[in-house]
Amino acid sequence: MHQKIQFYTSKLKSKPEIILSIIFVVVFAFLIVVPFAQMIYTTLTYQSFDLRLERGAEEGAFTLFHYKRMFKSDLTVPLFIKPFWNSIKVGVSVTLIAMVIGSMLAWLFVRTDIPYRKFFQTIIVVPYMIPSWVIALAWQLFFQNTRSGGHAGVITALFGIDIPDWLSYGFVPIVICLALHYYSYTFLLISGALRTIDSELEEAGAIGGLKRSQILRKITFPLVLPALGSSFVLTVTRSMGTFGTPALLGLPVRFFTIPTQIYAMINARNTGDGFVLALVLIILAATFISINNKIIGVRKSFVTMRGKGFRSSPMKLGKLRPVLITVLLVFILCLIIFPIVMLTFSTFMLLPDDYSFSNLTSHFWIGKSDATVASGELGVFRNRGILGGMVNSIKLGVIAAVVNAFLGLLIGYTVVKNRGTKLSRLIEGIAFAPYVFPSIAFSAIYLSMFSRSVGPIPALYGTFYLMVLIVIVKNLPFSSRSGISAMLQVDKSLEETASIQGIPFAKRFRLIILPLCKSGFLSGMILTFITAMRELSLVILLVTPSTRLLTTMIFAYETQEQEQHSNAVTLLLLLLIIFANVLIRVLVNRKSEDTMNLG
Amino acid sequence: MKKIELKKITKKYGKIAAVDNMDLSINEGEFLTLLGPSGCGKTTTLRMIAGLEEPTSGELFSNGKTLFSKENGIYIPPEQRHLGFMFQSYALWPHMTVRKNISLGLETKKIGKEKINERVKDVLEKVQLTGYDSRYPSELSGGQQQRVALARMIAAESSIFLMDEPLSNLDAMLRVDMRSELKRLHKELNATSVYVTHDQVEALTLSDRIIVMNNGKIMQSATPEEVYIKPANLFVARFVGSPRINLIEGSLFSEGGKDYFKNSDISIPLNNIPSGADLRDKNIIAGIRSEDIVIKKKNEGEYRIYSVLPAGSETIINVIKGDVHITVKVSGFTALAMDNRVDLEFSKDKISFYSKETEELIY
Amino acid sequence: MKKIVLSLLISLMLLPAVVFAGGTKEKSKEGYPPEMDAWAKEAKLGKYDKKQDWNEIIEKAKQEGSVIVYSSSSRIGNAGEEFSKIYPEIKVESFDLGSVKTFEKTIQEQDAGLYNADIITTGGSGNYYFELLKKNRIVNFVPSTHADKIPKEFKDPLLVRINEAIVFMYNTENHAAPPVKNIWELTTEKYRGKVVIKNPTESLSNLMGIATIVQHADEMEKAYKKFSGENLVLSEGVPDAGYEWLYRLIHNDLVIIKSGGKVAQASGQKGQDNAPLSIGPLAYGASYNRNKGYVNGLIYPLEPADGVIYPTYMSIARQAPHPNAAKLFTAYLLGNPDITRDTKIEEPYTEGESVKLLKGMAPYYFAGAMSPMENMPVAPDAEDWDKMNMWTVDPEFMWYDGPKVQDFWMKETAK
Repeated sequence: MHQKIQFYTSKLKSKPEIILSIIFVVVFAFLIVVPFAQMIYTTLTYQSFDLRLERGAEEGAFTLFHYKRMFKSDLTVPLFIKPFWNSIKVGVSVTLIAMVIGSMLAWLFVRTDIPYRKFFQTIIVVPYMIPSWVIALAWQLFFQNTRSGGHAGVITALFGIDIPDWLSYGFVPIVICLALHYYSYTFLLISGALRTIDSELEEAGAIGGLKRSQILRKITFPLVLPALGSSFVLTVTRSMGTFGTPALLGLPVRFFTIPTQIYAMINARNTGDGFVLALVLIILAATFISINNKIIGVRKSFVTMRGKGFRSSPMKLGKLRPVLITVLLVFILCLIIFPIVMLTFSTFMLLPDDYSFSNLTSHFWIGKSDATVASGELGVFRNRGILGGMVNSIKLGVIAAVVNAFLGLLIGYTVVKNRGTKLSRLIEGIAFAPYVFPSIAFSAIYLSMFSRSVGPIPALYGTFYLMVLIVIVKNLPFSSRSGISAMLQVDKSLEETASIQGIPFAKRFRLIILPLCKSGFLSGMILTFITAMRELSLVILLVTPSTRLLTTMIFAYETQEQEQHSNAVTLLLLLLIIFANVLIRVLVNRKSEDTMNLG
Repeated sequence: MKKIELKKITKKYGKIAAVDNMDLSINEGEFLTLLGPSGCGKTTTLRMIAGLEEPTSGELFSNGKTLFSKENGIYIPPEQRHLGFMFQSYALWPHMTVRKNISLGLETKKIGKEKINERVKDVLEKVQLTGYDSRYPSELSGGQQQRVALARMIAAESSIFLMDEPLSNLDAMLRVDMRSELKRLHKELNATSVYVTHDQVEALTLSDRIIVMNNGKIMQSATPEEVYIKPANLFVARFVGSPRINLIEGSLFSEGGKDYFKNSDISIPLNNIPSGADLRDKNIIAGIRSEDIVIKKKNEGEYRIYSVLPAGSETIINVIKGDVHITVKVSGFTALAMDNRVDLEFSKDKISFYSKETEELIY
Repeated sequence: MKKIVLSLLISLMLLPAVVFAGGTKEKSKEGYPPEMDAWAKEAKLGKYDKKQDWNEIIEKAKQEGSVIVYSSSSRIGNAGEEFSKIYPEIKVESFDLGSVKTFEKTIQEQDAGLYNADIITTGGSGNYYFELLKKNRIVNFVPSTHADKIPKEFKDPLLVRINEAIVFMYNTENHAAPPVKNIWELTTEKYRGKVVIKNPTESLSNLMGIATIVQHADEMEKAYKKFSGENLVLSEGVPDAGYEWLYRLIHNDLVIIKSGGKVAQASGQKGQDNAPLSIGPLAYGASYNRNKGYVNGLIYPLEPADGVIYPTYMSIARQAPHPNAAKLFTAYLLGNPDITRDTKIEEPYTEGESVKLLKGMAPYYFAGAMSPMENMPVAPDAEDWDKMNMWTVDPEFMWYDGPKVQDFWMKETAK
């Protein structure tokens, strides 16, 4: 027995992947599985809130109360079924539009001789860097009507056109706004896949006498079909779980989705019901993903197959070229440049709906406190709160980016080194699980889990570190995917040869694995940085005044009717993300397309 | 002295045994080759010696020290086995210069900067790459990369070299050159070498001893000469030698005091069949190398020439009689042409006989 | 999918492990648990709060060095800065958490045995009374310096820091006088799509507002009779007149808005042709008239009530680490006890001389936030308050019926 222990310990010492696996399993169990179990547990027991509805019930006792309420009562239709269909409708519509735009753009940039590729592409992915609900704010700026009173949007102000409710609020604007964000997501996913296709395959078709459209339909399309399938599933899953945009644009016409219901319930301390709905979303997402995996196969669907040494000769656009360039320019101008310009412009307007020249002011940027303007809120650059929020956001972004990139690589190492074992599959699976967790519910769980000290971890409630932790965990699916695909590209003999030469693990990791995975590492970092900087639904329950972030400040300013401040901070956030992105790219000096590779 | 010893080593992947209950001793200074087709377990064996794979059961010793023993709970990780290992892919770190590639392992050994520099210079000289120390692997040709990998292995000054098909990525010409380099180096450094290859020529040219493996088992362990001349079984016979050994099915019988090997098509006269062995009337397989057959009586005879394949120093001639195909090797070029008729003479004492049933060598 | 199923299974197996997370709850209702008792004795709070020696309190407070406030108001921070000018030894750390999270954080922390907070001040009557006071998570503390200026209802069982109100507002540019006289008018065709309300599922205050209207079913029924001359006929499945009003209001294309500020803007923004009426916090209506030039007017008199008053309580948290600093800051936040109703307060209210006069009430010197103290001067524009006939939130009704009202709201709005 003693020998056996000795044997395993000596084996462990020399196998970092085993030690890492054990650490990951334990840590993930705690950070991902336990919260999930807690969620299920909450739905199956009476919470203190429920005692008010069911007198005499005992807190913590087992019950199907929440399930009955959600699935078999007069609340079922309004609280569950209608929001459920709304979510599905939104998710599927958003995804379809996003995929049409995204794949057309991807094809244009990867497969054709469109000029100024790099420039266009940089602008095209800007919506990816903006929080999706900021687009909803921009929508309000333009299309708000007088239903909710106050002043109307730009279009009514400038042209005197009355905007109907369906264009101001609800399903249509929600879908448009989300699609304008998620097309960048599908664009990145699909262009990644397109780049791996050897253009000789298409050329073979051309030699075989196929027309351009036939090549697209008969060769290119089937080849990217797996990628299309996964982008569809990934986008549907994410857009269904979005909270910010439906919350902003849905409420005035009572268009509720599952995430907005969850938020309302959790806010009312009715966590039991909220978590039942969260479980519905989780199961739905898991089902989508599993169907996709069944059809396409796990390997193809998630691992980015980066093109290496493939020949890719662009297709000549010919006469279509000027037409497509024009369309592209109009697209960029209307949907990206103009809104940003308007956003900028609005931050210089004293009164939010007065577009005259005399109404311009720099007060919201550099103004001192003036009780008659913006409730005395200081201009952005004088405002300690905003600057503090900026520091917090950057801190969150940088910490999460670095930690996630490292974790991703370590997970990648563990999974790839243990490839084929159950352990490896388990770690890969759990690391992906946060993807299907609705952010709101996830943070509600973390909030209660970490309000007390757990083992060596002090109570994190209300601290900055809780936000860091949850952002890191929620980003694990992406960082672990990119870590795994980065590690798959490193020949295992490169590390083995080092271990034979007596180089210890830490040094191997630092000197060999890390440099070899540098590009995957950095792209993982940028990606996490962007998602952390634009995160709202995950942190909105967790922020406190001292830990405010730019996103939550935008939301708060918006809520307090301080539009100029809200827009100014949005602009600040956008510039920060773009700046960080450019900075890293310049530092690394790599092609833009690779840096934005999605896991 | 036994430098490396494997005792009852088994490696299973799921239910399939990649290496099956293997016993093997390697002597100090020996150049041992593990030869076999892909999937025979040779690379797994090598990686187990290095510690990169862990045996499912069995014991492993080096210099009398236990490296692995499931029974006794011992496992020495690769870092502590002090071996040299050369990978098929060379495993050069692409982000490091030639110098760094060689010195990185030395740095962990704490042997002083000057000494490291000296040694790097030394080994680069040995592999004839002086002056290449600040290049990156991608700036080197395949052969040069291979030599950097070699230099890196030598630099560690370990007494055991493990090599996993190190030459297979080189083109044919370079491969031949490198063979002699390796052989020379082995003689100079006198390190115990275990060499894995599927290339029988490489095995024959380099080794002191060849282990022919198949399906995780040792088929034969012998000197190159013995492996070539007296393959222990049909598998080895087929695997070693180019062109392939001629294998003819038939049986032995005596006629008028003389022994023959015979089937419905041909009949080969033999020396004496060893007495004691009761071989007559049984189905056996005769194996004879193509160079042990001489072509006689040109333009007449029982055999028809099926193909003539001149290769410069030699010409491979395929002849046919009935169902029997026989390959004959003659040196230089030949005037013989396809469909000529010839007769053959077999070197009687160079024929090996195998049991059809067990495929083992009878004599 | 296998992975997900696998992780699901594992989590199910781990379920028992998380049951501990329920923690042990103190059930004792009478008397304090031992540690709390010891703390209360030491701090002279709760049942040991016999005679307050303010010299001693100030001395000890200075030694304690800081005070931590969980609140639903960002203005506490401003008051804290002014407080620290008087007592530089005492640092005020205020967490502006909103009402829901103030409860959440306080309860979660105390259940975990962490006693971080000194002062809790927030609205949410039902929760405050039942979850905090009744469960000994706070002690009520009324500074002896202020006690005689505060009517009993505002200090027993819980001290009220300020009172606020949910009111009905209209645009004074569009209407010379309040356009409606009876609350039922809001449910008529004329106001279809023309009433905005702050989302009650996101704020306890607005939930209290509508729940209190629902609670007064009898008055609501009478008001209906007055309004239409007929007896009210309840819609199917609606229990009483209170709910019936809410039901009709919701189905009269009620516009739901996220925030109090937006509600104030909806009805109060200048230059509108046909601004909607709004139901929301008076605090926003009044202060935004001043800050943003809105033109909100209060709809009163209104049958059967002009609005709903909801208190913001202030108490000392159980086992507060800085009990004396908490007492001192509580007294400061209540405002100057020596001021008189007719003391003249000059703008700016939150700076200089005004702060000296008002003390902790300075940031709340605006219409919409009423001090419980009878001697406090009333902010300009707030004169209406005293003339208005408003209902007050009933903690017990909120606690037991609040969730039902909320269910009703969520059900009907999502229909």
